[in-house]
This record gives sequence, structure tokens and C-alpha cells, in this order.
Amino acid sequence: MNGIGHRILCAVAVTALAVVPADLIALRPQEGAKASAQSAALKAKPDPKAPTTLRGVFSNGQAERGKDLYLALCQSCHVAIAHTGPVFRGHWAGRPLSDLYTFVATRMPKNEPASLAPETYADLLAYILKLNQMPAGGADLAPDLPAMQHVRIQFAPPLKRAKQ
Amino acid sequence: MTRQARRWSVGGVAAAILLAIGAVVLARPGISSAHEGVAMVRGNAPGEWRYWGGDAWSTRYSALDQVNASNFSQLQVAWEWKAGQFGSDEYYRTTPLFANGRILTVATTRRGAYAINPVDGSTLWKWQLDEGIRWQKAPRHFAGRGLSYWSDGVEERAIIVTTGYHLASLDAKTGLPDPKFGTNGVVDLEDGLGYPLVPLAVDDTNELIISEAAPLRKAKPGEKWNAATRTGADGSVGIDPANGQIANSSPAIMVGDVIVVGNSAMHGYWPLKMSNIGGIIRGFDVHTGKQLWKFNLIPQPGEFGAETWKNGTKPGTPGTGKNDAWATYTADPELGLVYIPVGMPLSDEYGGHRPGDNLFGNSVVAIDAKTGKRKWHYQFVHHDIWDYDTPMAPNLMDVTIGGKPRKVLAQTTKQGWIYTLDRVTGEPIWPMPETPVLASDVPGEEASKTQPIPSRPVPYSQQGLLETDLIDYTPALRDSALKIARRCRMGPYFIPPAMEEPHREGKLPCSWYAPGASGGVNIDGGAAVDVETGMIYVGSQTGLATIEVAKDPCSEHRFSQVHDSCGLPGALPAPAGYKKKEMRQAFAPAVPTTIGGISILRPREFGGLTAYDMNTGDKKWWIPNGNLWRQLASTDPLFAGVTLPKVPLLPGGQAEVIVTKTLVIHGVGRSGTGRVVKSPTSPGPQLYAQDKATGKIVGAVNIPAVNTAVPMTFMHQGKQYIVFATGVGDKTSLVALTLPGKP
Repeated sequence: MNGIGHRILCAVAVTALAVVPADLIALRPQEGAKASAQSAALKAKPDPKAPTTLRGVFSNGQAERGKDLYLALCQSCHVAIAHTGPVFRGHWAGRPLSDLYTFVATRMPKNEPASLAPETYADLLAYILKLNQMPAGGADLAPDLPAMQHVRIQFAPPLKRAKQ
Repeated sequence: MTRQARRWSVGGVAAAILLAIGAVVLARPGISSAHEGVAMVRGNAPGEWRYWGGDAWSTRYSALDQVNASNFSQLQVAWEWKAGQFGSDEYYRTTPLFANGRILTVATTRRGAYAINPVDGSTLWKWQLDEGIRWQKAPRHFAGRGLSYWSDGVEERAIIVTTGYHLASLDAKTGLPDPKFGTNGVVDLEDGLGYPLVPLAVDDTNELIISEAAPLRKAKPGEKWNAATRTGADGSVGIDPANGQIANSSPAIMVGDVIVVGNSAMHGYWPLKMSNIGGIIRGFDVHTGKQLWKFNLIPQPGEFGAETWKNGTKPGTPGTGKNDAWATYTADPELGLVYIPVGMPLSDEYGGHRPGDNLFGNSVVAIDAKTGKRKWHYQFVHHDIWDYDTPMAPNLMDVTIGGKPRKVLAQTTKQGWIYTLDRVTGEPIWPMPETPVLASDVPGEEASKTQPIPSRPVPYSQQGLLETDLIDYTPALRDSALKIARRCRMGPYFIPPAMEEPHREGKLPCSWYAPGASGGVNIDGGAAVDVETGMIYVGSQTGLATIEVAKDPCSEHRFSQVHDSCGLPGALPAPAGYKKKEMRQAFAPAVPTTIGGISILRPREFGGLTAYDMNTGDKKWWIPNGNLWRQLASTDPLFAGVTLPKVPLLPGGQAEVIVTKTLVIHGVGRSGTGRVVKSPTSPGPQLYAQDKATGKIVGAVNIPAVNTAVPMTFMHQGKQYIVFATGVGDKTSLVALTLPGKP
């Protein structure tokens, strides 16, 4: 096994613990208690006082990596404006960042959902935040679901056209 | 007009009217004149790569053998041509041509044409059209898949179809437009389609929003361009956008002196309007640019196949649109036929507005290149509701089947099958019986009762989902997998999309979807053939997803892929009582395909690179993309004590393959981005060489970044080069590999 394989292997293990939707976990009889706890955690209401995505939750370098991934893997089906426009904002404003992460990490790419490493999904997310003119900070966004539950998605009005 | 476009214009600003055309000749190295009297092989000069697919047959085969198993790993980067210096792109999806001493390519979202010196990678000339708002709102914003080349032995032409749907003929020696072709070398492809051209305007500075929101519009009388807001009418003309959108993503193909051009369309995921422009194929005279013929891929009343649209086909008829042949094309110059792989009709996953088989959707159509008349066609998917466009130029082969020489067309598809036809008659080589398939339970949808199912060769990707496809590492895991599987409609193939409403009594809210909309084979992958042995090597992907439709409250369509278009420019106003749905409903519900991070699919020899002997239809070998594996592991207690297998690292990416005299050569493609990376234990991105008979990797060479399109190879001044596109955004480039030392 080479280094790439190892990286992905670790990634899958993390995914299994962190990102598998609650409805799947519920299928496992011996994990019922854990499932309900995780389910509750995943559906947690956003805390209005929680830090927001306007506080620099990703780094510029990470967004740059995310842009390369986005152009290579995403944009043949999506255009960037679909991830910045009113429909997108309407869906995600006010939600915990973990919701957006979970959606992307469990549903995309459509033909092979959950196939990328958590760090890769986090890089993509950083670029999507950057597309929405959210400011970069000093550190990468980690694919840490519990931490992301405490970050609220907030858009900076007015939304100007993202520079490509 | 952007600053860059202005810089390149030599025709002056000309902004008030239409287009500025520019060509810049940067150098005139001692490149020889065109080959006179050289015998063409399948339309290609020996050692060259004059067609996107290597030759007119799309074999992607080169008889060169300077690079072989003994030295492949010694290949070195000869040069890197930085396409990104000219502008940005999506991912660089181009396979360049090599003809008569020059590399010819496209680059950037503006889709300029470029000639490159093969020795040092310097730019010989460049040309680009300023298409104003026609470019801004064009559905396919990328460099495209490449150029076409024509020569009569003296004159040479590089033919380009631009992002904004113009056809230009350039002198391949200088990049200057052919003044005898069209108007100053350019033909407006929106003209001649049967729609009047009108002045165009925009209300915003963005591109189109998928599927068709925020489009161009017809300009108001006297409307002017506002340079401050970059809105209004910039002098561009085109088809009234109320009719729909039209674009291009693949090169034309030359058949003799005829340029055969098609089109692509807007994505059909979640359309807003009930009709759009139908696909068309046209022939143009390479000498004059005159339109010679037009073939409607949605047959018009009275034309063959019109009866396969029960509600009619006249432009504007609800349910009509698309059937666009957006992939690359193939031709048999001897037979004078061009083979057109046709995409699907409007709305990817719901066909209730277009009852019938919907010819020539999802077909290959053989057209006489001189007359534009249909010779034959074969429809692979009737009444498509799976986004199963025919995604790739078919491969032509001469093989011996049952002791008889046969002229064959092998069409790789998203469906996971090769459909093998006699390319003279269109008859199946091996039986493809019309086989009963599942009925749709979506209101208004009349799925085809049967589909043709190839009896051979065996498929190269996962198809549908059956209980026998599920993991059975332990009884408990099998039980869990079965519980997941039964939450959506199961079947062997062609499972109709489900309606995403969980409360419908006795109906499942999702259907298993394999292959998905990306295939199987898609435009990134496809096949290369060995003209000597009759082997075909298919690069494909495999995976498992689900497919559902729902009512988009602000679309004219009854159903489409799950989407809420309310609020988008051009969408219908929200209906009374409309309330924005919660996220989980607005996007399709997630039905997991994994347990503890492990796919419910039993690992099989799917995706990657599959070799078949087309003399018999037998599968010969299979390797994962890049021969890269990963060891499955799970911390889930359900997997305690289970020894899990190795599986391919990149099942969802397509191997991009060519064939030479002794090698199969492939790169992993763009799915390796971020996944195939250099580390202390990994060499990172590489190009691989396989033994043709066994698939064994016999060589690998490090490359700067993963390739993003099918490579090509040629010989120049005694050296064999392998060139491929790589990169995204402003990091795109062509990379040339060659052996060290002098020839």
C-alpha cells in the first residue's frame, strides 16, 4: 500500500465516524444509543451567538487548493454562481457549517458520493466560502464535524461578484 | 469586451458591431510545407495526429514505437506550454493535434486557437475571436476539446468552433483567417438554423446559471451598451434567446472537403423552459464556408423519425430540445460516412413531456458527408430518462468475426456497454435483443417498455443494483446492505427515476442509478483500439448513486431533477403559498451507499481500464485506473474480524488511453486531482504504459500534474513525443514528454 492509499484509508475511517448520515447509523441495531445521540447532534439548532463564517474560518492557501479541486471535479456540472446566488444563500444562511460540509461530503460527487478525503471536502468548502466573499483567516478549516456545528454560515451583504 | 480580448484584436475595436478578429504571428520557424503525396492512413499522415481521436476512425492508435517498454520510464519533460498565460479555463479538456510540423490546440474559456513549435514548445501563432455577450452567456465556458485540421497537400487549415458558436477557418501556417471562407474567415453558426438573428442584450455580468437562468435576451429597439455596468446591447446578434441556447464543446470533423459541425446545449438537469433548440449537424465547404446541408437530430415533421415524438417536433413544441451531439465525431473517409454520437433530449430525468422514443436521441447516426442524408442509425436508449448521452466518438475497427472480415463500429457509452455495429449497415454484430425493462411510477412518465441489451461484450461498469451485487462479508453486513438497497428501486439496469415523495403508498422515493450521469464511459474516457489485433481498451468509471425527480415550483416542467429554481432570473414566479423547502427535501434525500465507510457494492472488475478482443467480443484483462489500489478498512464494529479487500483508488475517474505499436498508454485523468499526490511513499501523478496483451504495467513516468484529457503522440525530426493537457484555472498547460538525447 502506498502513501496515497494510506491517506485515503485514514480518510475513510474518519468519514465513517463523523459523516455517515444518522439514518444509516440507525440501521445498525447494536449502535442504537450512539445513533440517536449522533442524530441529535447532527440536527442541532444553530446557536445565534456562535462564531460565523465571516470570522476567517479557512485559509487563503486552502481556498486556492479548493479552487483547483472545484475546477477539476465540480464545475463540469455546477457553475460557481449556483454556489453564490440567491437560491444557495437562501438554503444555507444561518445553518451550521457542518450541514453544508455533510451535504457535500455525503452527496458529492454525485456518481461517487463520499469518495474524497475529508481534507479534500474541507478544501472545497473553503473555496465555496471564498466564492461567497467570506474572509480568509490564518488557519485551514479542519474537517471536524463537531467543531463545524458551532460555526454559523453567514453571508456578507451586499454580495458582490466574486473575482475569478 | 475584456482587456485581453482587446489586446488581441487587430481589426480595431469594432465593438459597436459584432466581432473583432485577431491573429498574431509570433514566429516563423523553418517548418516544412504540407505533405504532398503522402499516403493517408485512416485520414492521418503517418506519425501525426490530425484528428482528436488520432485519425478519422478515432482509433487513438499510433504506429510509432520509439517509446516502448524498454525506455518508457526514461521519458522526460521536453517542454511545458503554459496555456494559462493566455487566460483561465475550467479543467483543460483538450487533446491537441499534430500536423505537418505544428501542434495545434485551443486554450482558455475564450477558446483561442494556437500553434506550437513541437521542438521547444514556443507559440507560433494565436488567434481569438471577441464574441462579446455571445461568449458571456454561452453555455460551455471552456477551451473545448480541440481543433480540426485540413490540407489538400498545399493549403492547410486549422478549423475552430468557438465558445460563442462561430466557425473559423485559419491558415495553419500563420493563424490568419482564410479570407475566402465565410466573412473574413468566420461563419456565424447561429445563422442557417432556420431562426432569424436578432440583436442581443444582457442584464447582468454573470454567466448562465444552470440550467438556463439569467440568459441573454433580445435587445430593445435602440438599446445601447452601458460600459459602466457592462449591461445592454453590445452589438452582438444571434438567435432570439427565447428559443433557447446553443453552444459547442467539441471540434468539427473533416470528411474530405466537408467540415461536419454539430453543437452542444445547456445542461438539462433542471430546465426552466418547456422547449429549447434541438441538435443539428451541418456540413460546410472548407473552401468557402458555405453551408452544404443540415441534418436535424430532432426530426422535423415529415422527416424520418418524427413519429417517435408523439407530441410533435416543431421548434417550440413543449418537450422538444437538446438531442445535441456534443461529443467528438468519427468518420470513414472511404465510405464517405460520418458517425455522430447523439446526446439525450430535453430534461435529463423526466420525459413525460416528450412521449415516444425521441429519435435521434441517444443514437449513433451515420450520415453521408457529401449529401447530409442519413445512411442508418441505431438508438441505444429509447426515451432516455437517465442522462445517457452518447458521450464519445465511436471507434471504427476492421476485425475478423466468425472467420469473416467485418467493418465494425464500437460505441462506448455511459450505460457500461460497448454496442458493436456493422458500420456499413448499422446492424448489430452480436445480438442486442430488445429486452423488457422496469416501468416508471412517476406520473405522466411513459418509460420505454424495452431497451436493446448487448449480449456481448460484457459490461465494464456497475449496472443497476441487484441483491447479488451487495457485500456479504458477514451475514450481518449482508443484512445491513440489503436493508439499504431495498430503500430504493432495484433492478439489473435502466431503473426509472423515482418520484421523491416518501408518502406515496407502496412507492419508493428513490431509484438506484448505476452507471450514473457520468457513466460508464464519458467524454473524459472512452476507448483506444489496436488496429493490428482488434483489441479495444476502454477507460471508464464505476459507482452507485440514486436518481429522483420532483416538481421544481418555478420551472415550466412538471418534474425534473430535484431542484428549487425560485428566485433565479428567468424562472417562473413562485406559486401562491410557496414556501422554500427545507434543505434535505430541496436536494434529493441522501440514501447512503456505504456502511462504516465501506461501499455496499461487492468489489468487481469495473471502471479503470478494460481490454476486449473485438474479434470475439471476449474480455481479456482489467486493471484499475493507474493500477492504483487502496486497502479497505473500517472501524465500524460490524466489520470486526472481517478481512477487507483492496479496491481501486479511483473508481470514479476515467483512465485516458491511447495505443501505440507496442503499448497501451494512459493517465488517470482529473479525478486524480488532490488524490494522486506526491508523498514520501508515492510518486504522485504519472503516465503509465501497459503491455497490450496482459495489462501489466511495463513503465511509468512522473508528470508535473495529473493529465486532464486524452494524451496524443507524434514523431517530429526523429523524436517521438507524447503530449497531454493538464491543470485547471490559470494553471493549464500542455506537457510534452520525449526520450533524452538526440534522435
